[in-house]
Amino acid sequence: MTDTATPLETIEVQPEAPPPAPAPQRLPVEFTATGGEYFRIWVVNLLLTVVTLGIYSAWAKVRKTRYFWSNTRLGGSAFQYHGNPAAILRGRLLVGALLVAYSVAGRISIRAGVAAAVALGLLAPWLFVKAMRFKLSNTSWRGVRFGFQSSAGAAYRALGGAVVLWLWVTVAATRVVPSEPSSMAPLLLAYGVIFGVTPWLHARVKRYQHGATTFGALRFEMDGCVGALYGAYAKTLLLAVPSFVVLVAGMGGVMFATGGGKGMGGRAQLYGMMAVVYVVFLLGYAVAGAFLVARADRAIWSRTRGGPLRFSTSIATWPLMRVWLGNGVLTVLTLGLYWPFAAVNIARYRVACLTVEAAAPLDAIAAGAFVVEPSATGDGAVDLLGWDVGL
Amino acid sequence: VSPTTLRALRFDGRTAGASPVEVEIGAGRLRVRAPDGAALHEARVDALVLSDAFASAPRLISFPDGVVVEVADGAALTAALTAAGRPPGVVERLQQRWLAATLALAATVAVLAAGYVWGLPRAVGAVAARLPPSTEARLGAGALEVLDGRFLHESELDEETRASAEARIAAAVERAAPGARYRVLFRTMRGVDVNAFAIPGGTIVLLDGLVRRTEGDDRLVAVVAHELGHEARRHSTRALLEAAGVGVAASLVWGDFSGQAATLPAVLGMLRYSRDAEREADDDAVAFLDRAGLGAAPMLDALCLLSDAERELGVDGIPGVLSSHPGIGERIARVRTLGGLSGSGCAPLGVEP
Repeated sequence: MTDTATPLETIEVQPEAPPPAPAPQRLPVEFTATGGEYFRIWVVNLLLTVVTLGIYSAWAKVRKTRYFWSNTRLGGSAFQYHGNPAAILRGRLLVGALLVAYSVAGRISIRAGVAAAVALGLLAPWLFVKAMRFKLSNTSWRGVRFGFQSSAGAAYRALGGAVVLWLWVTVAATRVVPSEPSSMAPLLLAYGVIFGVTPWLHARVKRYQHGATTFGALRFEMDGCVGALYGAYAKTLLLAVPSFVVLVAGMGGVMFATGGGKGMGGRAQLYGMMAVVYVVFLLGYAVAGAFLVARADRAIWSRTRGGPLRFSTSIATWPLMRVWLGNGVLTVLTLGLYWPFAAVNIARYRVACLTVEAAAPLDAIAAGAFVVEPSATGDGAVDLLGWDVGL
Repeated sequence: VSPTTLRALRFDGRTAGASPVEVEIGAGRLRVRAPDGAALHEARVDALVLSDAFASAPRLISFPDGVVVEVADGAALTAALTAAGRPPGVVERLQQRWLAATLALAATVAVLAAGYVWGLPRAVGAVAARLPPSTEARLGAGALEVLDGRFLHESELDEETRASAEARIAAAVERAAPGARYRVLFRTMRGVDVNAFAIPGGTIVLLDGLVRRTEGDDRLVAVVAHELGHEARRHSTRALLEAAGVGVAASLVWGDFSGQAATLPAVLGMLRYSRDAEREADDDAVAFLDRAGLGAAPMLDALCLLSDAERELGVDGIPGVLSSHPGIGERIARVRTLGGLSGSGCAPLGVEP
């Protein structure tokens, strides 16, 4: 992206202009990571991870995170990651043990499984806070650390709804008896409710997450975006409808072309069906998914601010979809070796879309109380459970 | 040697404001100077707290009082520090070289391949041998759940057919292996369903096509005897554990230790055994049939049936699940030798000793 026309825009600022009073000044955002360098980092750390039977993965994670942060510059200054690999390893071991206990409980009896799910659900908001705090308090910019200030109560209020829904689905799923279609009803009801309240929950979690984020003594805040997210989700649903139509039409076409119901075309029919299902699902997912991510990101960032700082992103459906599809195709064709290039491509696009404006000189932003989260338990949970806490 | 001077920004750790400074490296020491030349910080290069060295990223120097100095030209700082006796760490240097990366890739592939060929079977063998039967049964229950959800459907056989198949199996087990713990399940699936497989914990799944085409003869008993051999030798447990190991390795490589446990590939991998495992199960089946007073002929005929069924639908089965039983011709020859059956291949069928 350094070769594109963006640097020209910054030249427009006149060097002799008087210090800008209230007019917000745009802080240039740059991303200088390259796929080639990240590939080398990935593969060297991969070897070390493999020969240490996974133990080095905590150090590898720190190196990879440092690479991305060091190559992300805002207003000319890079971010810095300070995470302690030993703490991350301890966190992963602890949470790994927790997850093993959870899956073992599920195998012993349904009651034990449900009890474990409830325990995990009750723990989840606390783990979320710990993870955010570890991640942010170990990230700095211009010598000032980020942070995450939230009481346990605030976390439970913000995330409780999502936890309750997850537990509802988990418990309802244990009641399903395959031979009795009527036993599906509670599960379907739970899914229906989830479907209806997801935009609301999404808005609530993001508002909480951004609102608890600090940079030094500066606290970020975010306006509600419930309406915007309902709109984004509804339009995503409308976008997904054509893929269902294409799916049904494609499957019908394969049926017709391979000679109807049973008999001759067994293999051809099956492979044809699989091809149609995969292609339609992947394309449908790419289009609808990219649309939702782009819309939600725009809604969320344009409502986020911190003191004199304002944010926005120009992330859009088609470019995001092109990056996704290109990444997916090349990763498959190279048997996974393209993976690090793909990770850089996504990060480069997202960073390039971001705009940050400062309405006051940065000197005005003071460092906060220097509190660093020592435990990476939550961070381990986030990695192992695959929760997305991307800011 | 004249000292190297680099432009940098100094952050005081109290606000996000920056002040321009110069960093001077020479004679094993690093000095930070204000534009007017006033010395602000000084430290020995080997005592510096530095951010990682990357190709084009800035590098940051942290001082004890919370001050951070950011050198935009990180590569120049790295070169100057290396000259002054503070090279980057070994991993940082390796990360910057394509040769090292290529060798690391080759070594990773070699280690993973060696682990797969030698390490995994040993580790899995040790674990499988120590696994209590109850745990094995739970593993099997989980695998069956995944298979039932995706590939297997309720059997379409009538009650009478199932009962007669079960009775025939039970009678043979009573004679050949009294007290053997096993359970038979009837299922069907799309595509090739002339087959059977063993699931950890003594569960044998019989597919409808197999049961229909062996109605009223002992080929079904032979197939069950073969699957019981897999059970007794814990082949299915081992295969399941091996595939789970592969899943964990895959998540280490691409997922950055993500918890997405690869259950599906694990279960799909479960039903493919090595040639050795198949031969052992065949040997067990022949011995079983012998004890049951049936002779080796049903085993031979069962193998011929499987090979016919596979030929009907092409060489390999649909989703890798039932691309079972490699080298069927070789196995037929071995069963003939073991059972003292003359002839070769599948014809003439059913030769009595």
